Amino acid sequence: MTPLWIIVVPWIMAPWAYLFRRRSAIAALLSAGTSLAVAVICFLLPPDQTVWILGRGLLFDPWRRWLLLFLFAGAVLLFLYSWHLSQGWSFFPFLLVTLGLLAGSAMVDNFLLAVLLLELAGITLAFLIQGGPRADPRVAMGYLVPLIIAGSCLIFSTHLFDLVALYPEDLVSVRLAMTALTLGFGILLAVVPFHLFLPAVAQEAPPMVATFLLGFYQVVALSLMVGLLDRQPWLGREAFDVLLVSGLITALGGGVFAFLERAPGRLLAYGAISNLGLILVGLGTASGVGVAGAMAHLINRSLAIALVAMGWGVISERYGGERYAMPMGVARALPWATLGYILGGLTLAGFPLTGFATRWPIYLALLSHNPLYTFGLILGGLGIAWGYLRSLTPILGRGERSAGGKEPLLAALMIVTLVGTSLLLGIYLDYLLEPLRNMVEGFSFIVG
Amino acid sequence: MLFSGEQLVWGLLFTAGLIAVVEEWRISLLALLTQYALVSFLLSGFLSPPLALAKIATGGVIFFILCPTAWRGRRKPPAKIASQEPTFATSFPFRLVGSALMGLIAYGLLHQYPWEGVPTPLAFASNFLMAMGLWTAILGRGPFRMGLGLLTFQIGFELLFTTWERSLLVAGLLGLVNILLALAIPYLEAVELARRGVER
Repeated sequence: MTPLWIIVVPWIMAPWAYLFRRRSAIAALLSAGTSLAVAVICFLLPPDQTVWILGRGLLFDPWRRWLLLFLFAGAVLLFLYSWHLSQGWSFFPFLLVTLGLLAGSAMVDNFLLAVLLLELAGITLAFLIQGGPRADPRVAMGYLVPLIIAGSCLIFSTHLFDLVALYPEDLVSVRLAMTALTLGFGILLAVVPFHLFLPAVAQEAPPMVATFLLGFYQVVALSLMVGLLDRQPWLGREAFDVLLVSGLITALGGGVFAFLERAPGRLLAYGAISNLGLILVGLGTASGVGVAGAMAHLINRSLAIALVAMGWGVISERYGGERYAMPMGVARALPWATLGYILGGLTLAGFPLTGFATRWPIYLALLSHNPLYTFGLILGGLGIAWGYLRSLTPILGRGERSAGGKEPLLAALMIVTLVGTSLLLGIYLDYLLEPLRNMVEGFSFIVG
Repeated sequence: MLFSGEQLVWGLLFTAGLIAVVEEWRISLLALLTQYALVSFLLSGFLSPPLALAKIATGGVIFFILCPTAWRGRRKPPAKIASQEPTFATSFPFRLVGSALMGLIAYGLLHQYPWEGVPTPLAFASNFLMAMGLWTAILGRGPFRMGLGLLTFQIGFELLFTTWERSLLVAGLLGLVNILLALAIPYLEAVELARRGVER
């Protein structure tokens, strides 16, 4: 079997999901089944294969194998969740198309093509962000503007790579390439201060779309950046300094914004932004511990985002589309959704037993740089913690019971499973960290 | 050659200015279509004829994707939402002065970062289109105007990038980006019109 199936299968199934879009049970099972099948293909295919299409190589190495497995396994959860809780008419077919594009972007061994496929996937996501007539279309459009700018910056940088390769002593080209990459990835990953579009998107988009954008799309974009750092040694120490500083500003800035925020969607976005800053700091240390910690935290962050979004999705759906504030007395009516929301939030904040475990290796790696940086990261986490702990007041208060009945069983089961996974990850992190450590040791930029 | 390179560049500057300054949908759409044609003529010296023709075809497809939406939204909406009210930032004089400033910025960038191997008029046209596209997208009050801005930005970017990268696959993917973007615009504009109470 060829790795090409990983890209093609979701595209083949997307029209079928579109045909059954009004029958959510069939569309959800079809889409989840497709994602599961592709995840199994990723697991069973022997790594270190290259497929050639139109003269371009598609790589399937151990790193990409785990990335794709993570992407498609996560998509199974998102599809199943959307069975009973609608995420918009376009969710199933368009997400399948996006998955195929992202898989292509992750596998193609050419930075320019990878960026173009990532941009195409991003534009497809705009249809999902809109979701339905309720959301403000200018938010989706406001997401497309930075996406196109980021894509152009990254595409432009590929020309500068050629110039740097031809004239390595030309510092202007090096500086321009660094600027284009910083701008491109900064906007794409919503690094502070380029983050302004993301909270609005997370607030307006259906919860599973926000999860996909924050927890999966950004992971593929980040892996593209890591691949670039691995293959372009001329970027040098300066690139890692940029990562360290921008990560620190993002972690701290996201925490401060989360501290001030009350709307659940925006709070989730700021929490995710702050955690992304932490991951950038981990990568910026360029040490085995720091980078492995960043990878582990990337997984934990996606789990936490999914938990918060799933919990909030149930709450907002059962409380008649309430979107801008936490309804009163939710905990009594919807206990599992509330548990997911709070535990996911605390994981993003880095609480012991959940989010702290994957933060710890990054803190350790950072101590050798500057202990003050660690303090900044902890401060960012406290801001998120305050944001989520503050929502406990309405959650635990007395209020009207849910008008829409009980929690959907499948959603509750998924929340419980994710809570369990998150706790297990917090307790037995070593089982994840060691393989990750071995994997990242292969990167050319690791210094210790 | 029907037109000289300089005339084509002037045509591009004029059409980009029209899109940024004039809100009339028919003029904006025709200006966008003209831009695609002008870019194809301008790049015909760099590209193979089929690729240059493909660029015109992409423009035509985008024009026909956007036309029905623009036609549907032509009527004055019966109920405007607060954010649709005219403000100073969206007034004609502001857009005109802002566009002139964007032109100056594009000219300044040309001298700051001259691109090796790219003719100066072409580099200026590219800078100008990107600047005007961003300006239109930032000032746009709805998906349609913002989308026109983004497409103008893309035309400017491709004008520059195509002189460096002439691969058929890359050109195809860039065309796909433009078409997908053009498909998103009517979808979002339709929702916007529905929110403003315009019946289909």
